Amino acid sequence: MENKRGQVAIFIILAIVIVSVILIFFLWVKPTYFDENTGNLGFEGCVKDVVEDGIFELERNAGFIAPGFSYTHMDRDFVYLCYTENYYDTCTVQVPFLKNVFDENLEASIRDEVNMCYENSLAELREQGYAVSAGDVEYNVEIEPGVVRVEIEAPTTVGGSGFARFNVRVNSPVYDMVMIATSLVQFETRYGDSDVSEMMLYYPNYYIEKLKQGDGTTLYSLKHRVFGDEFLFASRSLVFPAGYRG
Amino acid sequence: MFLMLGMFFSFCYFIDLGSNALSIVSAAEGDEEDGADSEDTRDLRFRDWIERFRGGSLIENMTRTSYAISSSADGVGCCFISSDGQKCGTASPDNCVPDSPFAEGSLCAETSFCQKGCCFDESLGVYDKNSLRADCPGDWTADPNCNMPGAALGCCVLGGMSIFETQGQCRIDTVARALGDDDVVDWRGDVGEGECFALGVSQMEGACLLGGGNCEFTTEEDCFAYSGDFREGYLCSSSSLETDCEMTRQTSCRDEKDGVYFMDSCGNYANIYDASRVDDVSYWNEVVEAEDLCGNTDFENGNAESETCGNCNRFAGGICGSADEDGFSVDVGSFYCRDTSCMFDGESYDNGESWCVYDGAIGEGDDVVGSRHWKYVCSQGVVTVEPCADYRNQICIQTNTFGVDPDGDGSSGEIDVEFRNAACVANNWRNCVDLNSDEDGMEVCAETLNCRIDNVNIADKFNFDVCLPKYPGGFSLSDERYQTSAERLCGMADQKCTVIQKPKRWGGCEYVANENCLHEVFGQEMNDFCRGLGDCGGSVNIMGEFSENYVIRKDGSLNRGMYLSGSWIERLRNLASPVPGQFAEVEDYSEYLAAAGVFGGDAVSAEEADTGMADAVGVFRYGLGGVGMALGVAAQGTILGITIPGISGGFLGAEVAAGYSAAQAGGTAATGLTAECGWTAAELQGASMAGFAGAAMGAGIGMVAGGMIANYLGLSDGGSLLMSIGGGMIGAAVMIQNGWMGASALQGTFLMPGLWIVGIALIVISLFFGSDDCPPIEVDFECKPWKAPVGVSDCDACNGDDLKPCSQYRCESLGAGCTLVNEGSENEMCDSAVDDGRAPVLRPQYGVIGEGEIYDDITDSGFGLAAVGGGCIDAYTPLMFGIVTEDLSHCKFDVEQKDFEELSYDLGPNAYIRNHTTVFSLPDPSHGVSQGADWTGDLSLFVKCRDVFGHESPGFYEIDVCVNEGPDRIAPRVASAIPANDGLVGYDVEEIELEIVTNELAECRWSLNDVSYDLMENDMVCMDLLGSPTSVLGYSCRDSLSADAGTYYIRCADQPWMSESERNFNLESFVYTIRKPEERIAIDWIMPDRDFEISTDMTTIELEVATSDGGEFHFCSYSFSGYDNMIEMFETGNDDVHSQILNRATGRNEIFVECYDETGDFVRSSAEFRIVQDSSSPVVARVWQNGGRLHFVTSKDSECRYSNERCSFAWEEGEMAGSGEEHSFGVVRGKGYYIKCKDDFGNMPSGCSVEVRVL
Repeated sequence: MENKRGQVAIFIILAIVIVSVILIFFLWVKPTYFDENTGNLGFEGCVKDVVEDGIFELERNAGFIAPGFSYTHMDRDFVYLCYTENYYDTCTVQVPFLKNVFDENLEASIRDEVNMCYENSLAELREQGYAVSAGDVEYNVEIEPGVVRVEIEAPTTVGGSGFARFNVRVNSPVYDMVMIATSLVQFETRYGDSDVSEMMLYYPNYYIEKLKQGDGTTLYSLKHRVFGDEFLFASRSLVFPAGYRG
Repeated sequence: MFLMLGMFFSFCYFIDLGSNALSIVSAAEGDEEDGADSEDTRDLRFRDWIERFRGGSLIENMTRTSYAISSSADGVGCCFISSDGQKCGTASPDNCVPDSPFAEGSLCAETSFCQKGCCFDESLGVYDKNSLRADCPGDWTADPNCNMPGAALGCCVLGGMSIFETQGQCRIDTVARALGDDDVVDWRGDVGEGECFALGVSQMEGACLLGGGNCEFTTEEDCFAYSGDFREGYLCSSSSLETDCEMTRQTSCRDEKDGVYFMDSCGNYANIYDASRVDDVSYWNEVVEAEDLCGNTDFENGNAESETCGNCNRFAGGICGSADEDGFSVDVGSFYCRDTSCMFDGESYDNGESWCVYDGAIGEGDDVVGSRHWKYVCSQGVVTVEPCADYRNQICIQTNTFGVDPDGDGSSGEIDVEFRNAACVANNWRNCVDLNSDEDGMEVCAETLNCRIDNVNIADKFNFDVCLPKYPGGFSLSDERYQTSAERLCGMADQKCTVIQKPKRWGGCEYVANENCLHEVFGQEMNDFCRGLGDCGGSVNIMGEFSENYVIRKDGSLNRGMYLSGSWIERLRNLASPVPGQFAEVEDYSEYLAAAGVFGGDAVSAEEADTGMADAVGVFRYGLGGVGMALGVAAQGTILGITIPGISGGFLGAEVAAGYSAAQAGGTAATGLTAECGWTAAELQGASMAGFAGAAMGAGIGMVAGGMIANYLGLSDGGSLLMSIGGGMIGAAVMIQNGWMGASALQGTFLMPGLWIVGIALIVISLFFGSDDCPPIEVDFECKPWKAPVGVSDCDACNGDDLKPCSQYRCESLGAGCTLVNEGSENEMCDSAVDDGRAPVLRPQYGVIGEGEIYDDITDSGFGLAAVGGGCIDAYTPLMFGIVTEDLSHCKFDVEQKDFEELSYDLGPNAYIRNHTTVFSLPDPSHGVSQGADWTGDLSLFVKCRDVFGHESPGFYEIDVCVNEGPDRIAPRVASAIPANDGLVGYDVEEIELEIVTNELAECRWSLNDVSYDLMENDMVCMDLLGSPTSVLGYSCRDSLSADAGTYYIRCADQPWMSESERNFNLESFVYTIRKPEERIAIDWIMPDRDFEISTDMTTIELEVATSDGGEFHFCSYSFSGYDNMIEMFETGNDDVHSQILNRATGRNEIFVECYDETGDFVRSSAEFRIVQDSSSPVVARVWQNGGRLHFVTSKDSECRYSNERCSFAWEEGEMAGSGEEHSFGVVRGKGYYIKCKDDFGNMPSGCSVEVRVL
């Protein structure tokens, strides 16, 4: 009888140990990428880095992955957002809905690397012995005042836990920069010029450089004084010939 | 097609510029035709011929503009997307992306796929102006200005942040930031951008309690989004809130704010940094009011560089910055108010101030070559540069104060606040130049932006006004296209001053008019005129290096003695130094913006020209009239009036008149002489009247004979007088001695030997007073485009100044060998070209040769020009040739071998180029010989070239050409007619002044019948002289013809100086026809012509004007301020309906329209209308329910939609609720309905129009 009690005690102790171990594993040792409450698989940090790099790259090309129609100055390509080849004529917008274009191109430019982040994260979990199943990854990028939000739809099962949506938020001035660029382009379309010194008073966090070139192209460089982001673009509007008549 | 069109306008331009040369009140006008007689013509040489035919040769222009012709054959057109990514540019099909729309030969403005308009997405609130239809991902409307209600910008308040954007964007941003539900979109359409910034700053903040001791310092809206408990005005560190956040000694900058802020332990912002209150618990409780903050009275510096106070003000001088980065020591924390003011050139500038910097003197035509206007800006402590457009296409203007309304309500007026503000604005210099071809150009010039009237006042008969830009534009120094136009423009200052002189009475010459043209003032004034046009003439670059680019010729030969003196050049050099305190004033730009048209006409009125001519005639008359002092002199005056050679044809009539006057004066004086003779007779007591009469008759005969001999001997006026008197005395003595005519009565008196002795003595003395030949002196000023001085020594001056970045124009102005290298790279710089140390090597330019001509006998030292098949070239055919230099060089030539500087003519433009081309035609040698000129058929041109480093080609490169000699067997050819043949003339025109131009000097006749030359009844007036054609195409003949007659037959005969049998006559008539329109041009209607409503404060209207009748081409222009400064409509000329897109503000509009046709007939009309703004949203006036339907009435025609979900539903998501003024739709009891209505203009509320719950 005593043996039986002893066995029961041993089983109880074992059960307590097992439960404790399990509890310790899930409640204390739990990995950060395995948080059902927050839906965090641990690759958000990776995505954040990718998005930040992507924004930096795109800003230098006025929202384009490759510069395309641009003016080269100091080894840097300034994409024409507004252009006319004519003299005495205001420019034609080359990229309507610039913000949407930026959204789309950011989404496209980071796609491979975001997938890579996701795959690496899953591979890490598999290495740790989890049964991981993954569906197609879809995501949406929105640039908003002060932030860039990336919503990732990635149906994922890790062990018995399922995850579907991941949100990444990156602090970035890109929205303001796109809006300022759009505003400058609108000025160029209407007046053939813009006043950046006034703009700098309104937006003290931005340093706006404007350089007129010999062929009439105006190069714009918008630089955030704190973040260091730089948005480059060019315009050619209301140009006068280099002589009496062109 | 496109290029051909472009070529057409280029061509027209050249004709225009050529024909609009300044007409100047000058004695020169009279002397142009002086050579009709003898002296001038005898001296006519090939040099003169070249000079006259090079200057304004249309053929030369055509050749130079022909570089682009080849591209017209490539089928270029408008390409929607070219291979380099450009949208709507001119490209060849090969350079157009496959499947991209392409319109061959079309201008993009004419294609539908490149039509510009407004690309918008109402739901996103995005409105992009000037967007292409084919490129628009959203909706598109033809208004390129996006005058739509949704496009209006306003202030979107997003919690503590504010953004200046459209209402649609504000809605999206509000949703994105989850600031409450959609009903609280805070968009304020009546707030400007500057106020918007302040609005964001002024949003009230407080502590947002999040539970568990957590707290965030934010706005109420944000707190609401976090579901927190908002405590307005409290800081998270407030002890009364019992949060975990505590006081710290940390500080930080805040986005969108100027000051330095304390931070609590939770990372929240607290009050403005104040070192004295870092441990003051009360300072960490609540938000402190602005008036209680430290340093709130430092309006001068905004607490810049304060160690203790972080109450920065960017406008006053301080903004938050890192003290660590700047090495600044603060009492607490690591941030401070960084000084935002700037120091530049010893002056302090506040943040945001901007000012102008120049490379030298500005205005009054003093801007130097290569210079640019610069706008400098003080931006948060750093001076940055904003270069104005290069080539001085923009100027920098500056104001030092601006008006501020201290009360904001205008009650106490404005006060001036010192704040320097600069701007780069378009330089209107082209319009100033264009005004010189306008009939009332000088009047308009004085009122035109950036223009000035320059009075070139050199001599009594050589003075004129010209409209010049205050800030002349710059010209490309390397682009041949602009060099050509520069040559034409600078050529406006090519002027000839004719100095009139006459023989002195006792020998020698004296100046009658324009003597000053022989002095340096001529060069000075003309050079100022020349460089006032642009980069022309003798001027300096930004380093003060002078480059001569003008020529002064005296009677066809270079005259360096008349060039600018060293002191004058030094004065020009000083222009390269900026003048302290000088800046371009702000002018009234409103008129300029309204009237961006082109002006056109002559600088000097016909009346002025007439007056000048009359003055010149008057001077001449006075000179001659003064001669007639006695009978003999009167006789001489008559002789002068009839026979004096060397007086121009233009003065011939005046001369005859002068002679007549002199004869009259002489007649009067003869009475005096008679009286004098009478006094002599009174002394001779006893002499009979018969003897006296005989002696007087003899004296008269002797005087006439003496005068004739004097004239034959070419004696001066004084000599002639002595000879005449002497002759008279001898005549009287002969009469007395021979006792003729009763003169024997005087025999034996002392009179006879006295008459002999004095008479002979006077005749002998008279022989010492021979007359000098005093022909007019022609002084020419030739104004050439500026070219850089040879060498490379100053190239580096363009580099290394970040505040004055180098450009191609600036670099190339520093030296002929300076060039911008590594363009586009980080190593872009102005560098010297590589000097190979070799002199230019010349060779023929094989591709350039006149039709029917070949390069012949080519050697290293020259070539010949011959006709195809060998032999000489026919006279009066364009002689075109060119040479090529491997290196950029400037080439000149002459008919004699001289030093490079002394060579008279440029071969090609006055610039460093590789292909040098020129064109002129040569006359028939026989024509020259027959006129006494030393012309032969052989001509040698001696060419020399100098490269950019100053290396000159060794020796002379010789170009030999011969013109066919022998009897002229070719009849003249009519080269052009004005008005154009078969052209229309004005409806009311009764008579036209026809001008025909022949290729060689000829006489022409016309008839209404096609008969031979000798049977034609009407002679045309052909006043041109051999070697001096008045038209660029040749020799001109004119006559008045009735405009009603229709068809005229014209024939000409060449060589007017030959006998009839030796001349060549046209065997076929030149048939000239005139047409008149059936009706005068009329304006049928103008649209808009009645009031209309819009919803925005600006709207785009299409001004349309319909014309009818008149000529075949109608052109219309418009203005809002009367019939001055008319602006040509954009779409005009081809159709009878002319249109122009205009962006107009609300209010009363009166549009003045003027239309004209190619005959010059014009018609005027105007339209008046009012644009009324209606920006109110429709209001739901009444709602009622009837059974299962809800009915409502709106205040105006509207389209309405409803939603059951929320008030500010997206329009496109709503269900239709009808349109018009009465609406109804089916409803369900107990449900709520949100209704939103939009009027025809798109006006609708941001929320909903009405909210209804159905019972």
